[in-house]
Amino acid sequence: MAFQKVCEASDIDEGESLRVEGPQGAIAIHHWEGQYYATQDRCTHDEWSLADGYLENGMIECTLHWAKFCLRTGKVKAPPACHALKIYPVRVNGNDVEVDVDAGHFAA
Amino acid sequence: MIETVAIIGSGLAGAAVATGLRSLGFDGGILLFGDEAHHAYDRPCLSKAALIEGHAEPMPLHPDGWLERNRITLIDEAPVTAFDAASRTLTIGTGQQFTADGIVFATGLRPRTLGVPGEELAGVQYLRTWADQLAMRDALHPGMRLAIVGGGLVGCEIATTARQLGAEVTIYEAADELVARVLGKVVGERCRRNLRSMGVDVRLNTTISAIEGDTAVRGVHSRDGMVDAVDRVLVSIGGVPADDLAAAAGIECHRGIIVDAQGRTSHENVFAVGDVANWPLRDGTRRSLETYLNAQMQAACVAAALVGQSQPAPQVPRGWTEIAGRKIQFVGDMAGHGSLIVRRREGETAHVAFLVGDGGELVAALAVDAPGEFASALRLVEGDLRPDIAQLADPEIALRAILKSTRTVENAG
Repeated sequence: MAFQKVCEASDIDEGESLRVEGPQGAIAIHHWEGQYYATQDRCTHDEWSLADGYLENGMIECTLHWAKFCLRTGKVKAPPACHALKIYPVRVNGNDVEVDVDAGHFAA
Repeated sequence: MIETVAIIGSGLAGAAVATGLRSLGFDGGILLFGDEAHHAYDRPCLSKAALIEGHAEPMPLHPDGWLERNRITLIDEAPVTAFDAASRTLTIGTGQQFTADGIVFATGLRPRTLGVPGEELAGVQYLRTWADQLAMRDALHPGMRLAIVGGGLVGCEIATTARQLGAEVTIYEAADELVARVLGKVVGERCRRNLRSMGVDVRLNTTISAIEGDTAVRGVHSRDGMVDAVDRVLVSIGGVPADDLAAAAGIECHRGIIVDAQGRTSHENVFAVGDVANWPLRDGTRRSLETYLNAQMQAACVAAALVGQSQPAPQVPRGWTEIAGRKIQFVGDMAGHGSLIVRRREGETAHVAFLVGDGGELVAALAVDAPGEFASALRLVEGDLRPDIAQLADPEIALRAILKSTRTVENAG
């Protein structure tokens, strides 16, 4: 359990996402309404990066088939996805965005 | 006051109405009537990944426990055989009857049949269900000869998949271009070239006059006099809304169940959703949409109407397909009227095209291998926004930036 810097806060504009590599697979860092969220990067429906997704209403939409997931919980908000995303603890330390890259988990 | 809702059809549209009802706080009974062994599974992958990857089971739309958590009673031992609109009573094949306050038809489409001699032969099939997909998978192997009648989305998707699996594939299309009705002729022509370079034999302006064989299919006769030896025939000439039950009950039907922009039929508290619904479009026309996304949007609307909320939603068609290795996404009617603006960088195949109407309105958009850009394109079209056309045509200006600035300008105006 250790937070590590994955990017700088200014690397991700409001409403955008960034893909970073992690020990459990790629992680997407999302910047939405001033907050940072971290989810697994791969959509659970098909092979596609959620960092290439579209943020709206607190959800990340996969741009391939438009499945939606809650940024905060990773839960499915629209099919064709059936399974939730893993989420990661994230915090902002100064200008650094830090993620506990070993602690990917499913929300309760 | 609606206390019990019966949904006929457990595919995406029907299941989405059930989910929508619960998310709106509906606390009454939900009866979901299905007529397949599997309920609520992903159909778009049946022509693609399910065949290529050989899925052991259909991909479910919901995780285990969805029915229980949402308190949905699934009735799938027999199909619904009769509906009485006055008493809102459904009868299933076993004779058992169910009554509900609200009825939702989500019965989908049935495949359109060819109507030629020999179509009953073994080896002639459609592709709508998991069982159809299994039959196709069993038949496809390297060197087998597959005739695909109908070069629409499903026909072209299967042609792609079958070639990848080594089959010899011929598409017979009655029109003068593939997929033109949905994607327009420009994209149709490109799909045809790409399919041909994969080794698919594409025959345009060609209809089938007969299928030949003793018990199993052996060949197809086309009206231009050709006879081709084949091992299997896929008939993919579209679908017919499964509206018989509603029509028999006196509900107004014409190419589907006629509904308003909230899914209401001609009868009070009777709704229709998804492919069976002839639903109003934003451009003033109406039809059955046959797309995954529109089925979901319609389901949200119908669920709202059932709990007494009004949120009418004239539809803008939206869909995706994968043909000859290209990911194609579209919104609006690309075969409609307007001028075409193509955003493409020199030397790249990925691009986004917009169809712009005479008044500068965005009629439709289509992306090839550009899902990230398309996310903004579809919001421009669905939002009926009017971006600067010169900017739109410039591939160096990100669509996301154009969307943002157009929204800012329109909000200020």
